[in-house]
Amino acid sequence: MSSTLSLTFQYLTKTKNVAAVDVLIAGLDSSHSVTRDNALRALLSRPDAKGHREVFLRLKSLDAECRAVVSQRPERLARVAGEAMRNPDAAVSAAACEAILSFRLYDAMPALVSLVCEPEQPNAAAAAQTIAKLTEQLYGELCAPEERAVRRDVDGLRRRVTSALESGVVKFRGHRRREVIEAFLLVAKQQNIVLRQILQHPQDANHQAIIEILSTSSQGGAIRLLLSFLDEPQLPQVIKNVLAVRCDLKFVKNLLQTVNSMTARIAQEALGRIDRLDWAVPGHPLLGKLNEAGQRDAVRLLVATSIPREQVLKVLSFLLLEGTTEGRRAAAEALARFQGPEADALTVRALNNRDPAVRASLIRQLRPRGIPGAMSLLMRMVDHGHAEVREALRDCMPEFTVRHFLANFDTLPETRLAVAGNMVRRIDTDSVPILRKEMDSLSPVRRRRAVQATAAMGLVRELEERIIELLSDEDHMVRIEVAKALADCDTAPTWDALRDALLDRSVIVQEAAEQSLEQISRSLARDVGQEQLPQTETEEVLP
Amino acid sequence: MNHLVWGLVGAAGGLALIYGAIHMAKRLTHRWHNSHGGLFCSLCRVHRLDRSARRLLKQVVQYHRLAQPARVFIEPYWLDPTRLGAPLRGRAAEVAALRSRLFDLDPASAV
Repeated sequence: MSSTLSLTFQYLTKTKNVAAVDVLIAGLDSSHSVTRDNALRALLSRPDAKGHREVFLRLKSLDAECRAVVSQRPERLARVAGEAMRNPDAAVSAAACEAILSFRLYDAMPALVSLVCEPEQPNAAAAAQTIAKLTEQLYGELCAPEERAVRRDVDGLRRRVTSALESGVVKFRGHRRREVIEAFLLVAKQQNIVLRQILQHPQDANHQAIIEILSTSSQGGAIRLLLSFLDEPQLPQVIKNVLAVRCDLKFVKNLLQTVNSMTARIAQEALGRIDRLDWAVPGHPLLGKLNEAGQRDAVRLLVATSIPREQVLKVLSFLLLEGTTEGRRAAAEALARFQGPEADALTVRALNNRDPAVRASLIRQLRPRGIPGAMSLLMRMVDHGHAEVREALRDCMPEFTVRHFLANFDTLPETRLAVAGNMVRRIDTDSVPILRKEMDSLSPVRRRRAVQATAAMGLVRELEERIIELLSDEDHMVRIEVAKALADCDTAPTWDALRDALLDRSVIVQEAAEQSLEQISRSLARDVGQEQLPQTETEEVLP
Repeated sequence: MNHLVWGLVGAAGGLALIYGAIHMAKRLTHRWHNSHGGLFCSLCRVHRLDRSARRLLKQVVQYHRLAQPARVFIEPYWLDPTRLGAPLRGRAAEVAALRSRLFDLDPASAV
């Protein structure tokens, strides 16, 4: 724009001469685009309602550039839009609604609310709908950080809109427009005095409407408001009831997310005040609609609430047997907090679950519960192929770990050594490295015990090389046990090593080696005999 | 005594006359400051137009019968030399120069 023309418009914008408004209005219809844009800017900058009205009337015909200019100062059109809404001509009021929404004329809210509150106002329905949509737009801005950055004082705007809606809520009895209440709940904070007063007085005409909307609205803002009450140390009873009756998926998902974002202590405090949730029933359709994470979070939530434990246990039972993978796992973990015959029975019943994580959780609970026959149940599972289950078995049967076995080896009766050793081998998967380390010990007693334990556990073949080395140990007691242990190993290196041991300086070692060699010979002969037997039988059968 | 009374009445009348004159002048000034004529004059002053330029602009306004004379300052259309009638055709060059000055436009170009 030329500097002279700019000077002209600067003067027309600032002059107190009201004739400038007429000139600028004429400029709005100019064929010269620079004049048009500048006239629009100047009119929006001036406080004259006449100019704003003319801009408003031309909104539909404005090009994109001019609409952008209007978007920079939309508040100037709010009053005019409010006036246009009162126009009995449906087309004018519809255009006003459209303009209010497309330019986000939040400052038109008081005019809209006042229109709704007027008795027998023909445009009240349209105004109510505009209120609802406009508030949704504001809520969208409040939720979007990038839009908050564009607008300077979003919180101030929220306060103004809330304040305008408050007057509509107070007059609800007269207009009965649900949209106004819903819009109010969308932007109000839980500390809002009007909201508090209505919630505290059930006899209030608006009380029922507010409760009904809080119980049914799927609007994000209403759900946010409802959940924000969880932060309060004193949860109002009416809100407690609303939280209890809401069974819609959107609300429950939001509830679970809110609880998830809380620290454990705060979540415990907040949820401890909830003693009823209508969806906390076995087989409730909502539980089936929750995804993996949802069921997991639902379990954590239910456990933290004050809902009767029997009821929670029933839901856990349902999820443990019919839930998603994550739901089952969470239920199995949560079951540890429940005592009593029902919980014990559920633990045993769910022990056959195919998910190793669930099994592992339940296995860890068996012995602390003192369930009769728990040990035999555990022993039946020692051959389970999954590492997680084996680890759980090791955790809950510490007496069957190799370290424990070594520590108590000398006190165990000889008749039970083989059985115990076999169990240890199957449960403790880290046996071999521990035994190898023990065989490297400086103490001859520990080395000897390691060899004995290896033999009892049937792990001589796995540690054959190291055991053969110990046949040259300086301590003859160790060598004796090695010579005895090698009887279980019929390989060529063992045979050679035992043959060498026949020349040991200790007679007892020689005798032990001789016995082992004999045992290996017998074993080999038996094996050969068994292999030949079927051949003979076959020969007899063949013609 | 009579002289004193007449003197006071005369003084009061004089004061009322002065007050009325001031009031009238204020109203006229206010009206002028909120009129299209006043706006036109103010814009002439803003652009430091001399007497002949002002007179020429007034003639253009009269020719186009503009209800708001200040429009000639924001719409180059009115100062387009090709749209001038017979009375102003002789001063087309001056109008073009004025248009160029107010809108920074090429004097030869038509809008």
